[in-house]
Amino acid sequence: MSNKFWKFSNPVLFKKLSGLISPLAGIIAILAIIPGLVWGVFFTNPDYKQMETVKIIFIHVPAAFLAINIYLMMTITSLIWLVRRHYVSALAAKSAAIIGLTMTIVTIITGSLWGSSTWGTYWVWDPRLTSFAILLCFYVGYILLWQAIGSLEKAANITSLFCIIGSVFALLSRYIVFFIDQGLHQGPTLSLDQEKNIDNSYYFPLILMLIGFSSLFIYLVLVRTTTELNKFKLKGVG
Amino acid sequence: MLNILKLEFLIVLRSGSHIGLAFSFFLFFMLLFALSSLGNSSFLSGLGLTAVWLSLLMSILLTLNKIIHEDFKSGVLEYLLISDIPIEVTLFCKTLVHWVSVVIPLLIVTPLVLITFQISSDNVAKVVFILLLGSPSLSFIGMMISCLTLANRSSLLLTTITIPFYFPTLLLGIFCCASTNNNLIAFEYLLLYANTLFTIVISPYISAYAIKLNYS
Repeated sequence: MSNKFWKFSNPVLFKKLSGLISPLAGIIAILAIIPGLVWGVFFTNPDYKQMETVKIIFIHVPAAFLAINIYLMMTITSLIWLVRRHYVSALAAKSAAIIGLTMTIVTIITGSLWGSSTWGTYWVWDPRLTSFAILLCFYVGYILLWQAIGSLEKAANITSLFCIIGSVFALLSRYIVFFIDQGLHQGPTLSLDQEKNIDNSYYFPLILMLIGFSSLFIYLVLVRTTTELNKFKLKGVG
Repeated sequence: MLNILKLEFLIVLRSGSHIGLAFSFFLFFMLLFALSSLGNSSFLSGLGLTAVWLSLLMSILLTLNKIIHEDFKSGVLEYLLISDIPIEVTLFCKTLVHWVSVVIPLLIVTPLVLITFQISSDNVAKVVFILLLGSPSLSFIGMMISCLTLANRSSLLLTTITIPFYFPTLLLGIFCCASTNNNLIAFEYLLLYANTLFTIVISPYISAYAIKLNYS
């Protein structure tokens, strides 16, 4: 099993596999995001208190979910690069970073729009908002470091180490921020504990959107990694 | 290890114009805070703790390129790598010397500066104590990041990339300084000490790994 998995670290095989998976993921993304949005926005009842603005949740929550998990994915692929030195792994982290940055920015923008109508202000230094600002800093630092260093192998080494240390310090800052202040933001919207979940009429479109955003991410990261691999190959030839 | 420490101290003392620079920078930066509060004393005393932490952080941040980048440029680092002494020990000593040479002079003048910020004198002792125990982590984190950026030694890059790693220390430090709890082994203080110890332990190993990655 493990041999079968690692054999896709070969760029040629990886490109073949990603050529198979990425259209599939793209189709799933379209099939989930469009119905999810239509269902969420037009066929759910507005909240009794927040009225229609509550529907921002269908963008906000999936984006936040991805923003955090993409950093986790980058940490894992960085670790794989440092241990097994597969170029695919390093380049996947590189191409995921910009998507993660975008998702973080989307989360912050939708969140502040939501905040302006429910809390009466675009931004407060609430723990959850602060930890997203911190996450944004780490994404930006990671991308800056990739741009600053010329040789691919060196850059991959250094950014991988940055990503791994960064994940530790980002988590540390997050827990310290939460220790200092409890804040305005509500608790988790989705959890495995059924009692705490939001109402079913919101739950199902939200899950659809989560699936859609995740497959959009898979599609984008596969396409971008293939592009990076091709670029690397062109540089090697030229 | 004592020999390395002695050697590093001598190098810093004989070549180290950055000690005086960091010292003056700290005072000037504090002066900026004081001036920007326009003589409003209630604003000033609220600003004091933030000002002292930020000035300390900035003076460490701006001297980071003196720790290892110059050794890398002059080729000394390669000799340190192949010498008998483990590179981790050397790096630990280098960081310790950096911290002592930059921060200790600042901590000596900090009480005087804090008094001008209208902070009560029994609070001043606590703030200096917390700075003493909290700031080593700034130097040790800086060591890690400056080893990471050996491939591109632009000081702006180093400064920008180090800042996110300073969040935990800065948050805890200011929180502890502002805390009214005078029991110095209360939970928040313990968190600060833990943060310092954690960075001191991981920093030499990660720095050594980063240097080896750079030479490979």
